[in-house]
Amino acid sequence: MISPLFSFKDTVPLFVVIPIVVAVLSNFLYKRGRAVKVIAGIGVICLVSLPFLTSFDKNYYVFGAHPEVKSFLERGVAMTFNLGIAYQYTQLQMVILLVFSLMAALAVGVALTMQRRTSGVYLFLVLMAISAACAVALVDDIFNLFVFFEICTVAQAGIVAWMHDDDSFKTALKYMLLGSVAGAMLLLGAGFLLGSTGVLNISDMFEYFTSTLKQQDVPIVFMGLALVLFAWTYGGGLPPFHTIKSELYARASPEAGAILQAISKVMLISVGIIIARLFFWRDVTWQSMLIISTFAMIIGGALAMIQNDFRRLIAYVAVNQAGIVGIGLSFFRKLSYTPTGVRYAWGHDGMAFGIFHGFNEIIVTSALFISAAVLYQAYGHTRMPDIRGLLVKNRDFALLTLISMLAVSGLPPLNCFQSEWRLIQFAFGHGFAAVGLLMVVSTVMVFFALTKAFIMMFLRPPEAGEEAPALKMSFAIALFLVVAVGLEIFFGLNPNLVISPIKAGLGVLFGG
Amino acid sequence: MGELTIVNIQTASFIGSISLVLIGLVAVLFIDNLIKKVLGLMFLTDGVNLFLVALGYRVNVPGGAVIPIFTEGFFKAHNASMATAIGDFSARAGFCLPYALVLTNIVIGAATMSVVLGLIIRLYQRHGTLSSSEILTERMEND
Amino acid sequence: MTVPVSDLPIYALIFASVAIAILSLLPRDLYKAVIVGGGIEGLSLTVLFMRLLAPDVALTQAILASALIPALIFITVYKTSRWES
Repeated sequence: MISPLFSFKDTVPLFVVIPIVVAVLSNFLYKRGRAVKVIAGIGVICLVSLPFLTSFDKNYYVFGAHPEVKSFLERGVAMTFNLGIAYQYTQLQMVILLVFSLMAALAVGVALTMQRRTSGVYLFLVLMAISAACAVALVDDIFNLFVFFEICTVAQAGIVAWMHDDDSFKTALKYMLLGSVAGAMLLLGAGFLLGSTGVLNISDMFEYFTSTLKQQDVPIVFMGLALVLFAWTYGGGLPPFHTIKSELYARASPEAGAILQAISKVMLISVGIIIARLFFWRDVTWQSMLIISTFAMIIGGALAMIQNDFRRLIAYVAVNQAGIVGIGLSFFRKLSYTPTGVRYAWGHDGMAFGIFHGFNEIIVTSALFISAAVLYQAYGHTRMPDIRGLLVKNRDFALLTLISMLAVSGLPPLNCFQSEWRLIQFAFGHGFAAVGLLMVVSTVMVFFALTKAFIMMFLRPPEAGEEAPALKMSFAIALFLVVAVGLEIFFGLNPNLVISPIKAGLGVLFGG
Repeated sequence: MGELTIVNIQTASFIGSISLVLIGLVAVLFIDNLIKKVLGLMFLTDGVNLFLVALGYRVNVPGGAVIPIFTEGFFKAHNASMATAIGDFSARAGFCLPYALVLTNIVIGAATMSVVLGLIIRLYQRHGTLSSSEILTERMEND
Repeated sequence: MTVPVSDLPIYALIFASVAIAILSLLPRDLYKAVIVGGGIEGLSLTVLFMRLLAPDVALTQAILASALIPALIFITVYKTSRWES
């Protein structure tokens, strides 16, 4: 599977390179606001157009196969493992990166227009986080996963610390400390896996584990599973890290909160798929993923119901939805194998529905964060008891926010209904009835929380003697909300447009 | 002098590295002072690096394990025959893939440490104390 | 597994680096904690990396993790407070 050296058809690394180049340039030119805006605009437009330009004819891109090594191997040494740093770009990655880059590009547009002085350094942090998240979705090498994980941690801490108040510095420090611990644990797990298999590429480890069945039950590999699971829960915002992640979303600037939660969802999906590919042959993998995600769902929903701050409420709703995505990701069938090497009997449906839910959530929760950005811009805070009477003069804004809130709660025919309904049916149909019931309960909890928010902020009449406030929506924010609502309705009516590429991509990733 | 029977150096390094990781974890989670938490982070990184470097060690090699640098001595010792020299080198040299991981990890550790230290200085200027229980707890009226 | 006695100092060094790590977390004077836990610990790991067939890693460890990072932490302690309250 050694491919030729770099050719112009291989545009996969541009997903990572374009945001880094734009980030470095905008940091370098941080004093010239207009230049930064132009460069950032061009960069994000290129990033959004990349999923349409990149072909997946091979699905597996290897870089760095040195010509000396290649000629050495052609002298007849049989190789099943790859000798370079590998990326895998299937239809699943195309779908996830498309929605992620679209939402991130729109959020960067909002960030560019929301502040009076465009800050190149802030854009640097945002774009580095975006590039690291794109890389985590593409990567097939467990050490590169660790490197981009650490880059993401530092960039996210920087984005929160940008707000310059005391609470955000505290959150940034806590996030950095915990993130360094999680990164070190991930590297230790990668070391365990390297020691027991001898390779670093995930596809090679997958081939190793499916071909030599005797060496799978070593405690070292089990410890590797535990450590990579630890890093998965940290990256995706599942318990026990849901408090620090929800603080991170709530204390950053709201449009940055949109990008941060999209990054968390991408990392949740990507590292979850990696865990499933590496450790599907143990029962404890899907059991632990299921338990952690169910906790996330219930805790997120319960805490969302009692919040008084709108950003904090949406942050806990994001934790709740991350739990549902995790439940979907844990619905893979245990393999049935024999010592002669028959591989597995898969069902991709559960994982595909979970990833589809993650896809929907990136759209919907980003839209909710941008609604919070409108409130933050007008009031300077998002405390719900102090905001009232918004429906009178802001009909459009109220309508767009209402559609996003109903989408999160799972109302047909919007997109989250399609994914949640499929997940609940899958749970009931395959013996996870308790999980299905808990999903229905969490839907009710989220609906209660968001309806409370809508009533408190929009439907309560203004104070006696004060006039109703009129909020200003800039063009970028209005564009974001309209695009998000349009996507919610479109993918609610055509869910199979997304589900079939995801299933095809999963077939390639797990088919070897 | 005679010989003693002990575990070999690779196993001893594994045990030492896991001990360092545990010490670092306890320090980050349970010690109050922020600077000692940062020291715990350093021990965590050191433990993981030691584990990875020990992973590349060769044990029980006839002729002794060598540093993975192909020097002139090898070439001359095998009478300038490239094939046997490379064969002997690859049988005896340490496995150098984990060394690349460690080099990257040390630099990543330096970068994240500097960000953490900058944030600590900023927080000290606002609070006047380095105790994490005072700085990092949430006060109810702020929430 | 028999090993020559000339390797005995290395085992003592591995044991000592763990002991140094514990000992550096105890004092209340943060200058001592940083110098022992950062500098001396880093140096012992450098020697250990040399013995474990990795001179390039030992170089990087000596420069970064036993000189640069303890210097940064030292500057932080200097700018904040020396004594643990």
